[in-house]
Amino acid sequence: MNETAHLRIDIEAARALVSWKSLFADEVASRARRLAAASSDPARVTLSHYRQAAQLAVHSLSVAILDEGASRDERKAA
Amino acid sequence: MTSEKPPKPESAKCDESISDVEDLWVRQFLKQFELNVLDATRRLPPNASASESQLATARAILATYRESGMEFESALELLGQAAVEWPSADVAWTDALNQRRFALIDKEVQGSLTPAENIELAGLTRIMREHVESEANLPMEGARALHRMLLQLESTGESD
Repeated sequence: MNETAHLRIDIEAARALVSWKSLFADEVASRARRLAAASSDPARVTLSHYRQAAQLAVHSLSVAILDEGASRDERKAA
Repeated sequence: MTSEKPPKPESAKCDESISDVEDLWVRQFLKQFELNVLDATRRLPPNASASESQLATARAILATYRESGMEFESALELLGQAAVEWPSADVAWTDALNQRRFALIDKEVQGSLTPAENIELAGLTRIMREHVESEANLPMEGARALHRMLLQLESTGESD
């Protein structure tokens, strides 16, 4: 029997994933825009800018997820 | 004959990029759409069929359009236009499309319009409205003639 057949995903978890994806995309776009602004062609955001920005955004996302978890735990404890 | 490739025309270059406003809109739309798909999906039974999931997705698309400030009727028109134009875009308004619209209106009057035809009719109406309101179809020649006449009067001092 397939063990994943009855697997259920909490809607809260699925919503969090949507939020993180969005947060990551916003962070990449924002950082890439800043990188482009400092480049020789400030009016064009390139794949290279997105690559650099994505690496930085991964770290930001990780911090945001940890912070979110910590504040959630604090609320539960209170 | 040179072996060098000619530079890409500016218009082609433009086609390969989007504005930051469009980029932001896409990201916001996708986030909202995903949340709406989740909301629509969680109301489905655990063993929902593919068609039930597809219907939930269609509801999520409409909900997202509504949340982006679009009237329900406009959202239907937009979907209808995309369906009529499928798979390309910018369909020119023709006699055939006009006749199809009249046929659908007849069916609407008779109360025999299917949901798919209802959306098709909305799309055809939108394309027709865009055609009628486009600059090429406005009565510009009369306005230009009047403008020329007024300029002529002004230059000959007859306007007072």
